[in-house]
Amino acid sequence: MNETLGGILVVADSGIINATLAQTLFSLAQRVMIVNEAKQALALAEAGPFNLVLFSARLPDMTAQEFLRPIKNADSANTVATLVIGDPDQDVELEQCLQAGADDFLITPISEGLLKARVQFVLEHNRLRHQHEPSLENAELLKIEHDIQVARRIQAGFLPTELPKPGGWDVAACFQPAREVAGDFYDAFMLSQNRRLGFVIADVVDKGVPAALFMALVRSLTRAFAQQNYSINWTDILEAGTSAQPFTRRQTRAIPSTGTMALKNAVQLTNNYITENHMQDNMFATLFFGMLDPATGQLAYINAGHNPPVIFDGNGNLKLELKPTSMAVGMMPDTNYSIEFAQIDPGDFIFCYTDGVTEARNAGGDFFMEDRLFELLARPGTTARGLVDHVYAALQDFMTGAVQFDDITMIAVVRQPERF
Amino acid sequence: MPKVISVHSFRGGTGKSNTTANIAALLAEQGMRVGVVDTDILSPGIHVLFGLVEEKMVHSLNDYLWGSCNVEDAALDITANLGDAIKGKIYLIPSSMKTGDIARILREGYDVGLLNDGYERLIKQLNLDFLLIDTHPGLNEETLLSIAISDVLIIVMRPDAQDFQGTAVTVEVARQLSVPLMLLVVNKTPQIFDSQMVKKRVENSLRCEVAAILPHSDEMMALASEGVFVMKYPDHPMVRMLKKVLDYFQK
Repeated sequence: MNETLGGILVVADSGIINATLAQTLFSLAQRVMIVNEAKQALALAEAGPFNLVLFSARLPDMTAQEFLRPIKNADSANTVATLVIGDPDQDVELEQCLQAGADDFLITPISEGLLKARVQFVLEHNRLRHQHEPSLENAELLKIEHDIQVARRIQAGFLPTELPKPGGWDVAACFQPAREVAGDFYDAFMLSQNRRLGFVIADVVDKGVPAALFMALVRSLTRAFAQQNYSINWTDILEAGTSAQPFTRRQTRAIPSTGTMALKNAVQLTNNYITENHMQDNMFATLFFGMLDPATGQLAYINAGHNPPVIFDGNGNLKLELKPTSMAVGMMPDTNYSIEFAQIDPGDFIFCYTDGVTEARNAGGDFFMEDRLFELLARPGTTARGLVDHVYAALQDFMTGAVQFDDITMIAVVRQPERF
Repeated sequence: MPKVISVHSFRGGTGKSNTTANIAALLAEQGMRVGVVDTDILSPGIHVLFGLVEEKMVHSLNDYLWGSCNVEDAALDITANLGDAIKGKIYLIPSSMKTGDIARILREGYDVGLLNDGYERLIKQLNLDFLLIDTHPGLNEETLLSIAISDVLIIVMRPDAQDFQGTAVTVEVARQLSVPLMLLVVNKTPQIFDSQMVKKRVENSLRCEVAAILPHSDEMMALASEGVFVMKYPDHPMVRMLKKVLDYFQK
């Protein structure tokens, strides 16, 4: 409480505030000024802030009311507590002071204990009142808080409200920021006239507002570039001229098939944009972009430095880890992102996650780790929602009593078993 | 093994579509199942040679590219339009002649990767022996893609300085794309030219096999694209020359 006391200004003669009482006041505040005359007190009050003005109802140079008025007028923020001291016969004067804005009163003779109790009460009362009437500083903080809430809402708007579910497939996601806003995101949308399901999971280095802003950029660019029909790169061989190695028939994978250009455009053009325009920010994102043919289960993907998504089969066995195929997005100009392929058979699922899952810590500081995650995933026959919720519940359980350090994001794409 | 054959010319007006139609008809005559895709989306035309009237086009390649049908739904069996001599089948996948559809291609583009998958699906669904791709003149992305996936590339040119230069570009590109078999067809050769001389000159300058030197033909001009030449004039000497082209990839 002492540190909240800026200072006490006392206007009373030593008949009222004797040495013992003065000592009590010194124990309550770092700065105590005791003067006899009201004019002197007003000059002091004008020069520096006091938390409390303690004054006699019987002043030598003006009435108590005359003294109180300028004190109150100067105190527009209403932060100064005022306490008037009167003799037992001064009930009229005391009453007038209270009407003029004094917070409380004391009757002489004043005991040490009563003085201490009353001073503390008035100050505490004042403090509580100010919690409800925010100061300018508080107002500024509230504004920032409000802005962050708006940012959170806008960021939530970047995530798809509804995930596409092509026939025979089930998709679900989970997004749990460590702070108000996150550097993670997931996305899923249909491409190539509903012939392909594109899904993305990404993790921007860093957390909080900077990461959230960068996340908004990466998410928007990947989504927009995925919708560009022009191609890049597979014809580079022609620009290289005769000196280049001829295109081998084995490179047929390099020839665009449905959706692969969208995939390549999304990652490569985003990287180009970021490395050209935001290199100085030292921000980058690990990103996995899957382009799925719902009819065949063929998955074309680019893994830009993201922790490997996993494919589990219908018996709960880990079939494949889709390891990074290239560097993270935003790290290196002109990175060539090559496309890899995987197959998702009926009953299989692919599970993508950010490192907030495996690096979640419990109260003892242990990490959640892949082993725990994979054990949870070995549950054949669940829905996408069931999978994601199951993992999240286990994570929450694990993190009981600990702080969530990193954003937690997951997306599961389940191919339903064939029905006979 | 089904074969994909792209027919290309660097410049327009070389007789590319006529060559495609003639080769398709000759293959079908042998009993082959042949698919013909008109990827000349911006200036379609081969449907005219096969006697397809616009009203009969239920679906076109455009519909497939925009996701409103499967690629095989756009295939039309036009075998009957070519007369009784055909033992096999010819399916045509036409491009739309509607102004709005052509404008939409210009405006929106499309995922060129769909062509690659579409070719593969056509071969499977229609059980084709040959898939012929009539390309857009010059080099654009769908042409490059068609060339890259082809087993055979037939480049049609006239003995003309402009064609020479342009064909050299196509030949170079096809080499870079490692097309297994590349053939030149020199078309509309003036009767006064010595065809052996022309062949030698073309082969020397382009370093590429010349499969046929076809003479300028008044009959062909008079036909004015209202039919497939090899069907209308089965005994014309040009038919024999065209049949020789087939030998290159049917041995």
